Amino acid sequence: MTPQRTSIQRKLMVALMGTSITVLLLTCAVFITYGYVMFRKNLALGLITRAGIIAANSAAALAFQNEADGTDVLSALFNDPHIVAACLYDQDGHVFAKYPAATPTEAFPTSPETQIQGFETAHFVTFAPVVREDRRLGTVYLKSDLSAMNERFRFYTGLVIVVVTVSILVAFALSTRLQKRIAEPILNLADTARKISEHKDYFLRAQVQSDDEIGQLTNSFNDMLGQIQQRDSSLRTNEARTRAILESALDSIITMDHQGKIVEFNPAAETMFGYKRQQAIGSQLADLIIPPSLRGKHRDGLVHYLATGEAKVLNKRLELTATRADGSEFPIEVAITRIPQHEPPMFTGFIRDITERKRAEGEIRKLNAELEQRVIERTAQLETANKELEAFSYSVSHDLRAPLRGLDGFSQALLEDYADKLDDAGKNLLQRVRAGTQRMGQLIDDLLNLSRVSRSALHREPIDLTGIASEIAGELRERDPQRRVDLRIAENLKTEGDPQLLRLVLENLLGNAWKYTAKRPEAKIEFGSSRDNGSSSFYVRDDGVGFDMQYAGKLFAPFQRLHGMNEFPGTGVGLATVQRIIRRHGGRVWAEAAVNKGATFYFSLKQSERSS
Amino acid sequence: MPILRHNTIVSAALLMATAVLDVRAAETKGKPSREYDLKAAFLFNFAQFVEWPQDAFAEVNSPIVIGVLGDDPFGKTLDEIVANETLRNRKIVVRRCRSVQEAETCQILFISRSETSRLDGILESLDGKSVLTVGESDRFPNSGGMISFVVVQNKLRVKINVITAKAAKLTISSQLLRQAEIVDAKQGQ
Repeated sequence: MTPQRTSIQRKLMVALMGTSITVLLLTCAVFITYGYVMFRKNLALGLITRAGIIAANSAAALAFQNEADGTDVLSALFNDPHIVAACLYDQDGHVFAKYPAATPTEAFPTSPETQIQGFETAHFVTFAPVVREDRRLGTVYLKSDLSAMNERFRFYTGLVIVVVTVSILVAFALSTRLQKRIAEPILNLADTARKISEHKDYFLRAQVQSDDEIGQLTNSFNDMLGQIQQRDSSLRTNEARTRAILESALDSIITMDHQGKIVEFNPAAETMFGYKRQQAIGSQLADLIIPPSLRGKHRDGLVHYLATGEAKVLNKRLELTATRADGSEFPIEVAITRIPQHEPPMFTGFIRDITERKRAEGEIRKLNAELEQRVIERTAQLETANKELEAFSYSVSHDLRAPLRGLDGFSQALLEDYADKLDDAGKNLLQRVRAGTQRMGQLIDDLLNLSRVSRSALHREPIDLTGIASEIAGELRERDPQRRVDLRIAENLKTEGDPQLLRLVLENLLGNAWKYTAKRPEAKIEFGSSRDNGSSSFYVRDDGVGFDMQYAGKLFAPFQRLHGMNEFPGTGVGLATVQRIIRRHGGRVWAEAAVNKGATFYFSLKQSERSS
Repeated sequence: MPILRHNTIVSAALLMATAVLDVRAAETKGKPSREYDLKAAFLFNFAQFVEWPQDAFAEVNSPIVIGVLGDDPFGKTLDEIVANETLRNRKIVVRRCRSVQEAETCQILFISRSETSRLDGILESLDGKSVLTVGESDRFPNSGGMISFVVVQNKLRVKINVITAKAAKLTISSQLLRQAEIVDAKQGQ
């Protein structure tokens, strides 16, 4: 029995017993008081009545002076032991007859009128007139002691004692039973609650013993237990899950409280830092894994966070340095997060050893550096080779021109000086030689241009493209004055670049347009600029023969031609040259066309416009 | 000597009767004697303990008549006792009867010693009348009378023939009967 159990039982018992005894005593008090008052009243009434009867019966005795009869009438009072004295007075107030008969006359009041009827200390006294036919014949005097009342009082008191004693016993028996009925379910509930809190056994249930409020309480208690059980099991599951994550995580997981003490240290952390879990828990995190140089910063940061809620390190990936148990330092990557809804704050850090990654990164950096060096070297070698090649091709082209000029000059001399000696077939052959040499010359010029594009330095300056295009248009019209071409050049086309090289570009593009529209009786050529997707480009459009877009890829390769030599003459170097110039300006060139529907060549120049 | 505190003659008479036990000694004072004072009081008191039938009275408020037949031994005492007294709303009067006829309409009739010789005739003529007859001789109740005065141990007592009284349709109070010596013999026994 625990003290609480005694207490509720005793309280119930005290309440039940107290109530019943109080009620009982009050009832008894009322009963006795009522009894006393009524008894007094009845006693008085009885005595007065008796006095009246005696008065009635003694009328004749008084009327006829019969003392003996008067005494006889009074002697009937013998039956009432409480009447201590009685007498008859005659009409003149003299004692006429006495009871008991032997009492001396002096014992009675001398005159009936002097006495007042009622209770005296130990007696009740009453007077009754003797009247016959409206005539006063005398007076009856009656004196009773109060022993009857005292007897009755004693009897009542005894009765009350017996009743109270019996009632207390009965009340005790009833309260014990009642108390059991009320207290037992409560005690049962309390006992179950105690067992549960001691053993944490949420499978226990309190027994429902009644369907009253205690029964409802027990039911509610059991319901709550059910909920606790459910939560407990889900908590256990969660904990097991968390534990499993902690145990099996490859990263170190360390939890720190607001004082900087370690409260969680998982196996990965043990391996990583060389401390046992038991060693680590409770220690200052800073002393354990933070290098001495950083400890101050760590502590200041924590204090600052607790004071202001500001933190620079939370919820980020940080690369830091940590120390192991043996004092060695190593690089880590860490993500620190505050555990939500936990007061005071707690922080969990997920730490990854990035020694290997750092080493790999270093290696990659080294390899990259080596590679770069190698590229530079190779590029230099290639440039040298390229320059040599260009110089070679230039010199070859240049050197090829001298014999070619000789061939052409001599062929011309033959045609002029020996015209009369040559027949038409000979002349024709010579003409062919000359055409061949001229074509070759042209080819060499183009090749020289192409190589010059690569070799010469780029001089960037503002250029008036409209002006240059107009000059070239003029030259083209001069060359073929018989052609009818509607050549439109947009106003104010300006850019920045190498004037000589860009003139070459326009010469080529406008020349091509001129050439491939040759079969149109009235051709249209247009030079302008367009803005497309925020980038500006220039274009040359014609309504010439065009080409099949499936060959567009070959357009800008050297010596590639989409048309036969006899159809449209050309060396196949022009567009290659254009592309090279545009690229040197950091630009781009492309074409759109369809067979017999003309072609449009676009080019863009500025670096920023190279969007695609 | 007791002092007279009440002015009623009844009280005085009773007082004197109580004080003087020896009734004969009272005669020393001359007539009317103390004995007759007491008897007069008794006559008056009989009226209180006896009830008459309704037809004993001529009218509702006819007086109760106490008659004295023969020589009057009371003197003025009886008159003084009944003076101004009423009983059951009837006045009480004293009538000195000169004839039996006169006595027939009394309610109480005291027959004096002087009439002893003619007693049978008187009682005979009263037969069937509701008259309470009171005599002085010890034989009176046994010879057709109803109440007689007797002296027992120096005290005035009465003797009553209840049968004669009943025959006269008189109701005598049990209280009075308790005071009396009862004769329950029929007339003439």
